Amino acid sequence: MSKIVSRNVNRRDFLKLGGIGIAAAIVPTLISQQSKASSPLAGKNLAMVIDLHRCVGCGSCSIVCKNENNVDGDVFWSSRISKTTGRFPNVRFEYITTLCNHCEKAPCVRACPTKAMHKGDGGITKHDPDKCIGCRYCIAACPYGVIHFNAGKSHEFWRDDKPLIEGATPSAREVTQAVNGKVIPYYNPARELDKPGTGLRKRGIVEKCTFCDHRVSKGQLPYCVEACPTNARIFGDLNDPNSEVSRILGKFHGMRLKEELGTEPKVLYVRTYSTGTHPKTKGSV
Amino acid sequence: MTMRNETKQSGNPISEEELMNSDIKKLNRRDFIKAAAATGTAAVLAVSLTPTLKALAANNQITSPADEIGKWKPTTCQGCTSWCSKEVLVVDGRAIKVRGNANSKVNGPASCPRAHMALQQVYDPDRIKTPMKRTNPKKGRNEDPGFIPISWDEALNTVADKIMELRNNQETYKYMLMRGRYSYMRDIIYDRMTKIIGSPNNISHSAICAEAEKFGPYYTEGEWTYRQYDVLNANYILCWGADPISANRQVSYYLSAWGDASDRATIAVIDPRLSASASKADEWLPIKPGEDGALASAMAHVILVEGLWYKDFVGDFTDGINKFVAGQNVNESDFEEIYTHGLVKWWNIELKDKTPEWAAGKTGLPVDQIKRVAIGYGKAAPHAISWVGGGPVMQVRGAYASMACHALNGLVGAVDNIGGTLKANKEYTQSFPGVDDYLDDIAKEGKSHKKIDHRGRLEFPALNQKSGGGVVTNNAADGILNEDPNEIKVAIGYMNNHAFSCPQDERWFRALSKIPFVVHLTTNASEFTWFSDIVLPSTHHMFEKWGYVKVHGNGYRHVTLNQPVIDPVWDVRTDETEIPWLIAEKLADRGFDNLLRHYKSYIDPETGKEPTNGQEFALYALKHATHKLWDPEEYQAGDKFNGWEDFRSTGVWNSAPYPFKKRWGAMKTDTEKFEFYSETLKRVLGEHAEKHETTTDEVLSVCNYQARGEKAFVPHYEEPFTHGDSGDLVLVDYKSRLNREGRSANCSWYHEFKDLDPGDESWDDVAKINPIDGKKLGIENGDRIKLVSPTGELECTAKLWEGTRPGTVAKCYGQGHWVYGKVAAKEFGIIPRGGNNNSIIPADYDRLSGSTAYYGVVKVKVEKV
Amino acid sequence: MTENKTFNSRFIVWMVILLAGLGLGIWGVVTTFLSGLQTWGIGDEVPWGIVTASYVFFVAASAGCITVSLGHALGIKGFDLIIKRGVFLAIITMIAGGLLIVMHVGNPVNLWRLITAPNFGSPLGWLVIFYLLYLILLIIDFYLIHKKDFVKARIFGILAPLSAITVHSTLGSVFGFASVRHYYGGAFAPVYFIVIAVVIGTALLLFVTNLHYKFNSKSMSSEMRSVIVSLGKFLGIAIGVLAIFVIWKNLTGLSNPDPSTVKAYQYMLAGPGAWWYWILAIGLGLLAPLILIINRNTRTPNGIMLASGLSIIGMLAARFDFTIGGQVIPIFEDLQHIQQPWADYAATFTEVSIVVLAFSLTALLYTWGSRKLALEEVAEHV
Repeated sequence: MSKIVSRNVNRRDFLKLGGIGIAAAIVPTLISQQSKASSPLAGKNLAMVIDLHRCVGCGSCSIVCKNENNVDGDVFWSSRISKTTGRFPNVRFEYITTLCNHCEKAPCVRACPTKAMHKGDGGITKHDPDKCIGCRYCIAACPYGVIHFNAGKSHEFWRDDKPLIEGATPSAREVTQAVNGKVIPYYNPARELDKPGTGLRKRGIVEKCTFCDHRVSKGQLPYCVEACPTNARIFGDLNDPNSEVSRILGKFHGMRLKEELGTEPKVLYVRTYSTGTHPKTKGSV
Repeated sequence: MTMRNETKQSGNPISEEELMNSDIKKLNRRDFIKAAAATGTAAVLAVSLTPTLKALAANNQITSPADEIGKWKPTTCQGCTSWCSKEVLVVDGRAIKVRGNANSKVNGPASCPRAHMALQQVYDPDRIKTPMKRTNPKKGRNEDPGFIPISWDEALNTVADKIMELRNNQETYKYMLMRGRYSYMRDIIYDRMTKIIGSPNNISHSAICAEAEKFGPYYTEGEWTYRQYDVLNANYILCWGADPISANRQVSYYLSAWGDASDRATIAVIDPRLSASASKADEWLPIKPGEDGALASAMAHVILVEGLWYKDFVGDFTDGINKFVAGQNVNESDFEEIYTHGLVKWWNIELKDKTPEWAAGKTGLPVDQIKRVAIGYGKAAPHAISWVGGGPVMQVRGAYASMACHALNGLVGAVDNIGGTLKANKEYTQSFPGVDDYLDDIAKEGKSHKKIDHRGRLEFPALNQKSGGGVVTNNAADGILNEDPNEIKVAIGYMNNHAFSCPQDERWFRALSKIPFVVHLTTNASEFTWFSDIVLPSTHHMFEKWGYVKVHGNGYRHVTLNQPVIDPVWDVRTDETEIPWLIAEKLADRGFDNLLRHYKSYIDPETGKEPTNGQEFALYALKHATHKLWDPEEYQAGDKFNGWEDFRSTGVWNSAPYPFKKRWGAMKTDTEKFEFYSETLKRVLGEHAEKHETTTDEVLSVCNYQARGEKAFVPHYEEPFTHGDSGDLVLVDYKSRLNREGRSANCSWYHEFKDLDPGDESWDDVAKINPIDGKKLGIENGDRIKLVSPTGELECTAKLWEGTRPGTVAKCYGQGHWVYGKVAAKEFGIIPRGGNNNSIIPADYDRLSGSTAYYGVVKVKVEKV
Repeated sequence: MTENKTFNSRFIVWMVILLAGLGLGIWGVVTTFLSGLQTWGIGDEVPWGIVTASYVFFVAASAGCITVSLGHALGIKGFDLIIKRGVFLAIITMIAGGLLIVMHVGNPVNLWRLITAPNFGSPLGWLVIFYLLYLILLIIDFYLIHKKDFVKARIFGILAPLSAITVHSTLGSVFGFASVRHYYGGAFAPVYFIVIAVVIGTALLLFVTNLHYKFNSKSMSSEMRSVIVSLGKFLGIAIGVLAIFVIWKNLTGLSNPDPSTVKAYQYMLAGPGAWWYWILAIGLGLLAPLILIINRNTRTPNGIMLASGLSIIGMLAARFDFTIGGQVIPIFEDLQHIQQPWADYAATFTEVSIVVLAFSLTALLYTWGSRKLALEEVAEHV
């Protein structure tokens, strides 16, 4: 520094240096901003509204999710809470479909020591399998029980090579081989298009719902939303005041699971599962 | 559906030209410095640098859905009898995903959950890939068949030899064809082949489905059919044991409509258990099993007493004064009916004493609820649906419950009306070429024998439009066992599993063991297969087969194609078309070519060519049957196509919209009206009695009905008939929203998601007992228990659940396979996973319809294991 | 005073046992690497099992051992006799802990990212850095003591314990930050962990020192004896403090309005976890040592050895209970794919063998150190 001060700096040099310095500081920021802007989901805060009135607990969402994402047996990226309450005959059965809430203040993101779990474009809580160390802190931190750890290789069922009736039925492995599947015969290759190798998650890392980021980044709805036969799942951008989700949430209160924890979930439930009305009465003492 | 693709970035759209022109170099240094000093460098740099960076961004465009890998191909799902039109995503020849075919006006893009398990079925590792033959001569529940793989040639030769043996000994009537899961290619194997061989014994499965549901509609409005319901225009929906968002018919459509329907209509579900539909309804009427007729009669009583019947359809008292008063007869001449017949007779014979108070005693329902539902339903006329499900009617005396529950539609004018109960729209498929020219004398003689299921006998009226018009499927086992009217020597079953799906399953174990030669056309080695001699692996109806089915819903009927969307995974052939062709070829080799000649007459409507092999035969037969739908020159109504390929690539044809009220006064009943007093039933029952030289009352007595005299011709209450008086709880059987008939138990998703049926548990088969009964019986949650009936027992897990009516035990049908596959069975061939309800349900019937009784038919003892 | 360096039969038996443990442990490691953590009893509902709990134990032991050096730095009489052993123990237990953490994660190939690009918002993001820093400080401290540079050693003798407190309270905060699992105690966890560390570390140091003398059939000098007794009293006080923490933790937990929290405490105090908890964690971990130490008659080196040995077993069990307690009760009632009313967790043989490995490795390293590094040397006060 002292050297510059002692020299006779003319205005041109000073401004040159200043400009270069400022550019050096700003350009990287601009480039990073620009690469964000280049993502189709930039600036969006994606959320899902679930209309419990239309939902009938059919479970299609949770089943097709496994189909779309090649999820292992007895593992659920989308699941359900169901409960029977009351005493016969005044009983009700209630059902709520659950999935990763892609919380704005995601405890799993904060917990992850390697930033494998991070907030990605569109406000999706994404998982980078290349960074995961499999410490399972995300699972300990998540209040919703939506993260799964791959303790072994997935799809043990489909890796079996013992046929039921020798010579007359195939083995599971033989089926997949016969149709050129990848571990499972109905393997969905679209899952790994964005990131090859993530169509099936490898042993030792965690996985969870990604709001079907591989579809959303292409302008398609998450598969559970598309496949819901009752149109009970609505997807969209909370930052857009005219999106369908914004309109619905303008009209109806959006209940969120474990609201009191402050995770700011982006899965919101409107209306109620139990339908209908009850006979007018004032009750009695 | 997919979002519209964005092809532009949000923000400033920049054209290529602008990108070229706005060059950083153009900014000279002076400008740069000035701007930096004056406005802040960041902003300046952003403006000047952005165009270039945006050019970089152009490479990260969102790809359109057209870039999606694979192709969606149309076909049909037959997981249940909703028979939805579907599309399958095929990638590199593999079926990946399933969705509703938006081209169908019946189901649209909606798909129920069971459809997806079809993927686990077609790729089931336990699927049979090649024909097999039995090497263990002994047959029995515990006899491993010792199957070994054989060639198609050997298998077909064996089958052909056996058929020829019957022909040569002129015993063709000892041949039997059992139909299971069919498409409308069925007549090729079920009717034509059976007749040409020369047997009367083509035995369908309809009686173990829901035939009794059709009895009520036929004997009131003249339609022996399943109905469709205009739920979106209804103001009241009454579901009698129906669970439309789980099972019954057109689940996909009703799933999509339920939310909106419930916004508008009051929904009341009548079911001893809290079903999925009951949990999404305004009212749950947890009725005692078998007492639906009482509720229906009481509701009719209330509607009449309150003057709520729909006058435009039913008519009115000539002086406009309501004379329906509890306990009092009414003069028939005081009432003028318009489109109905016998209202006053009905009142006088049955309804006048059936008060809500009386019904409360029978049904176990509160009086105020009965009144409220009846009045609510009546007030909603004519947009008030009375939806008859299987529960109240597939019972020993269910035929009359069917009439009673369905008759309410007539009272409120909902028949053929907007927001009401509708039949199927007209469609234009045609039947296959006739068989008469191909019947030789042996066949004619053989055909004339009596059927093995005894339909039409005194004790089995099976009144599908006439005496003996309907099948009595489950009784075929007894016919076989008793060699009555004759023994069965050769039996072929296709995509059926009577040894699992029929009550008192062990009778089928014995019956099938008795038949010397049994052939099974199947995808998996099921219970029926276990007693078979030759096994022919068949195609999966959704992925590997040509065929069609038709179904109605949403005010339309669709005809949807089963299509081979992938190559057959294994060396399989189609049950209804290819295999009969191959057998025909073999028979022709042996000098009997009638069948082959008949099949060769199924020419391709487009080219006029004769089929030369099984695959061509399947396709030409299909094109023939659907000819009037796809050929513009044969166009009748509904969707129009340019030709076969246009139809095939769409996958489905939709009918014209529903012609409401067209049948008012033009019904296919004897009076052409909606019959509250069924002249039609009177005649048909009378014909049956006459055939047996006896009286109607005698028929009813033999058939275990209580009605005598006039009562037999009106909808009325019959007390339920239940076996097992010393039992603890009445069995309430029901169907899962994941059942693909009986065939999804080998799918892991079925078990992983079994809790989707309210009250059920994943990977378990639970019998749900009300905690009150649990306490009485000393049963705790999770106990392993046995349900024991007079005819059998099963083992399962006990669950205490408030959604079960006290006095009943609710257990889902579908598990209890002891073969079928590694997942379906706990130990293949030995230990079942769960318990098969048919092990404890006695073989009894609603004899007027021929239906098997599943509900309200047995009381079981509950024992801890 | 030089150590007995003969290879007597007792030593041979000792080595055979340790090598067997090592062999078993290596089998466990290989099995885990070949087949994955499916060979363990952990799963989505109980993701952290006995290996994780043992890791906490070893880090606590290390932090506790080095706390003693703080005493030495403050000039407490007698600590100069045991400090070298203590620092060495701190190092080797930390190494064992490191092994356990490598085994605990499902995908250790990415562990380097914790150094190059950690998430500083997460306590686990800080932990590895603190961990390595602490280990470096320990090694330098030991080196200086070994080289008898007691002036410099004193500096590290203060830095190392401070670093230990940082490491171990951060480890506590890992559990505490998983705030949905109330059993871990939230904000309370880091402090709780420090108290636990003092107990475990002191007990380990006492036990190893006593065992060392017994094993080598040496007799203690009277100074050593009095150090042992004072350190034993210190252990008693630490256990007493811990007992107060435990009592209040349980009482607060039982009265928490959140049902899953209450159930977790009920599980541990009166449910399936009760026998582990009462007999081992409370009985052996707190009550027995406390009684032995309070009672004058048993406040002897032998008695203290017994007390510290029981305390080690009890505290190891208590770490298991703590780890499991926060996971065993579902955080979501009626979530269908979660086991209700509590998750089954049973440690598999593979997991146990890895814990055995950690102990065997520690013992082997100690044996080597005691023979080669003159752990009995006095680290003079400065």
